Amino acid sequence: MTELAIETRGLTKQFDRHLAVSDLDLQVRVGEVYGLIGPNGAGKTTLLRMLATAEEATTGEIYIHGERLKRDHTNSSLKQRLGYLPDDFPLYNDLTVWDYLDYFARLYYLREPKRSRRLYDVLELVQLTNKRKSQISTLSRGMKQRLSLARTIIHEPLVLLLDEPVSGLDPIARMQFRDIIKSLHEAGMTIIISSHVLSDLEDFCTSIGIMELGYLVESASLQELYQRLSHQHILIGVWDKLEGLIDQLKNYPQVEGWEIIPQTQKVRVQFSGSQRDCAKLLRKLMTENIAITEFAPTQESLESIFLKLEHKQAS
Amino acid sequence: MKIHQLNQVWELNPQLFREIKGRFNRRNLALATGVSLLAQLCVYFSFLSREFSMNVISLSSRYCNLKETYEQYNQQYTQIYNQLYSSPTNDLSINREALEVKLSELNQLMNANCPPDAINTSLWWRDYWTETFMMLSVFGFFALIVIGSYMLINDLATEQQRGTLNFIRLSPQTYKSVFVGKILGVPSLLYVVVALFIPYHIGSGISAGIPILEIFSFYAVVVASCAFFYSLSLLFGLITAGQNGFQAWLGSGSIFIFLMLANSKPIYQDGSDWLNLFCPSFFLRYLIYSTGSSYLHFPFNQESIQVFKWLELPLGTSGMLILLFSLFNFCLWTFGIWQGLKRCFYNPDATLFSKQQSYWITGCLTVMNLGFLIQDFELKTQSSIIVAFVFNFLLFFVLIAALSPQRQTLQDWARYRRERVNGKTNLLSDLIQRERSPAVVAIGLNLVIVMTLFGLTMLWVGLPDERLQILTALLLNVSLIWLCASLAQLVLLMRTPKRGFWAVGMVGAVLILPLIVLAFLGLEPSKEPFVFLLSSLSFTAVEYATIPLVLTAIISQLMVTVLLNLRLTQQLKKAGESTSKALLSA
Repeated sequence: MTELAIETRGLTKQFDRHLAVSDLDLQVRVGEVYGLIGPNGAGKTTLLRMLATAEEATTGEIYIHGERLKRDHTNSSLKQRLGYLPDDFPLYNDLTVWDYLDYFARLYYLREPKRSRRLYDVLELVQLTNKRKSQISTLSRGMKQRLSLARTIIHEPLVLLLDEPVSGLDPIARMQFRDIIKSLHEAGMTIIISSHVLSDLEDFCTSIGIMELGYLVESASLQELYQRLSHQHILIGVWDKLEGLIDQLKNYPQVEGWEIIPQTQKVRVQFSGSQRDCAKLLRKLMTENIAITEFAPTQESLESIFLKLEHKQAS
Repeated sequence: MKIHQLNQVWELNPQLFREIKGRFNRRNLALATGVSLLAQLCVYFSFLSREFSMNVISLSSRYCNLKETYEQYNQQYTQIYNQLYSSPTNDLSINREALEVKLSELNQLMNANCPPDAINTSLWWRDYWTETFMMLSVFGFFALIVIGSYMLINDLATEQQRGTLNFIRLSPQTYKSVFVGKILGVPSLLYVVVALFIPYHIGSGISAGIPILEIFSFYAVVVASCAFFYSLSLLFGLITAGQNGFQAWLGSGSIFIFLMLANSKPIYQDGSDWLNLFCPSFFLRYLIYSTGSSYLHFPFNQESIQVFKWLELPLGTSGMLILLFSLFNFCLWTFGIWQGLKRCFYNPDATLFSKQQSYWITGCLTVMNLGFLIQDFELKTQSSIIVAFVFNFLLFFVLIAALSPQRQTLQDWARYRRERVNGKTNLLSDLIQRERSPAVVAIGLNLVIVMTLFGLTMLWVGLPDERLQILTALLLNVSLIWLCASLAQLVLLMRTPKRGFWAVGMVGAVLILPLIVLAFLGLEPSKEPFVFLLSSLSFTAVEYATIPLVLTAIISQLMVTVLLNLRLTQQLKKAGESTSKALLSA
């Protein structure tokens, strides 16, 4: 069995009579990038705050790499393994970029010469090496966000918790951020990231959890989610008449239906087979001498899956 | 200090590194040095005017060696004056004109300046340096404590407002490392200013004839007082988050007023003498005393510190004894405050102290209070008993605030109590020692501790005919406090947003409002004892009330307390209902 980086059992957080997180059982394997999605108020931030030890759970248990998070304890060894980036990113404007990271490196007991080396590595990763002597107050929002991420990973945490890290960033800054997260994933960090930008999550997540009204209503690998909830479409274009193509499609078992795209020589086929089946279909059409001009299998996006699930909790 | 050693300090305490890094730039250091040197110049020049006045010392001054001649002139002047104005105006045997001329001559001689060669310069200089030393000492510790407290509260408020304190909380650093770093680092520029004053201060002390060891003993008291007030400021900053920076003024202002009161308060030989120990100026009296100087223009009012007693021990008679006692006092309460700092740092929603800690705190504070009280444990003299009861109210006012959990905590306790302890639960043990449970029973237990300690002291030193009266006064005091604790806990369970303010307001109203009404109606305890028995001034009416009247008052208060607790239980049961049960019953 694969080792779990994060496990929660019956995790609950109640604010007044409102259950922000309700009886939540979450399992995230080591090395995964776990995307947490859901409408505003679903409990994503509360869950991340509890995992980061910033919020105390009302009841339930949290295990980080098998070690239980204890109430009213300093949890110092656990804190060494965690990195948390909240949706706001408070910084010390009176310090330079280098001094800021140096301070946090010291807070996490990094000693010289490893500390300086790590600082350079992290600055390079977040592309702020040339800004290391700048005052934090002079940085742009994107740079500040990258600096916050640098602060979060300075001590090489095993588990990284990112709450809406790309909110408010322009497309280029978002792309840079995405690349950094991919690098961290490659470095073996387990990452839980909450975001409303589902196309980003689709790009680098290995698993997805959907939260609604404090409940984790869906938790699966991205692949499984696609298999279970996404329909594969194949866009097929032909040079001749469409009838020949449709005759062939009628006899193919994995074809569930089709739709002729008006005023074109194209058909959108609902296909339930695997990629191998897809290749077989193409081969069959070719052997039947159908003049194919286009054959494009497409997958439903995470966003459409999410919308299709009809999670209608009001934001 | 070598760079290598400095690096080791930074490694040990990253928080100190951060604070120093943020503050020690050239501009700030130049400013701090400039302020310190300018202030020293101001002090020097303000006292220099006295140096110039050396040539205009009058004959009557104690610095003039011809004071005996002045006394003779004065005697002659009085004789002639009496002769001239006590005899009838028509007495021809007196040559009035000659006498008046003589008086005028004597007057001129008496108002003449002391000749320069007759001035006792060594005495003048000794007093000069004594005054300089005293002024520097008093202004120095006031500036250190008040400005340092302001800086710390303000820094913590800014960190909380910005959200950066949470990152420090999430790091594996201990609370000790963080707060020691804050205490040493945040007022670091103030330390620079004060450190530059030290050579001048020590120099003036030595010139005044004060032994160097005693000057350093005074520094020890100042350092201990700073540790105490700075820790208190940090705790205040932590528990009053989100007051938009106002708490820095409130906290440091309160400390300033407290120090002013303690600085100007004589020793009364009752529980209030304890306050004197928190103001470092008490020790300055001993520094002057050791020089044998008769200088008395102290910028403080601690002349009577030598009669300071605790548990009948004459601690004030020896500088060493009172030094050790004050250091013990500061260490004990600083340790207590750090227990609160630990809890609030790791869990901002936790109560300030745990229930077990509260029992120790109450025990220590009551023993300390009784230690002063046994010098004068009499109801009739009242002043010391009043101080003891007022102290009790203050202690429990703080305890109620420090122990009563907030609405959310109580709701969680009521709803998930069994699940949190895996089903094994005992309500009484929960209420006496566990976190999150309501504080009413714990406050009750604290009151029992106070009652027991007071009772034992009463049997030991109380006058036999006053024992019953003091006991009833104590019972009334205790039952009113318990009523307040129940009320506060009930208010803290309310749904309103400013529950804390409401709780303070309600308890304050119960304690103070009846007194205002009684004062407005002009009632006196001797004439209307019953209404006084129900108020916070119950101890003033005990001697005029009959036993049945006292019992009626106690039972009335207990009944109100029981009603409040029944309501509290009902509210807690409702809060502990599951959501489905609440939905079904709605």
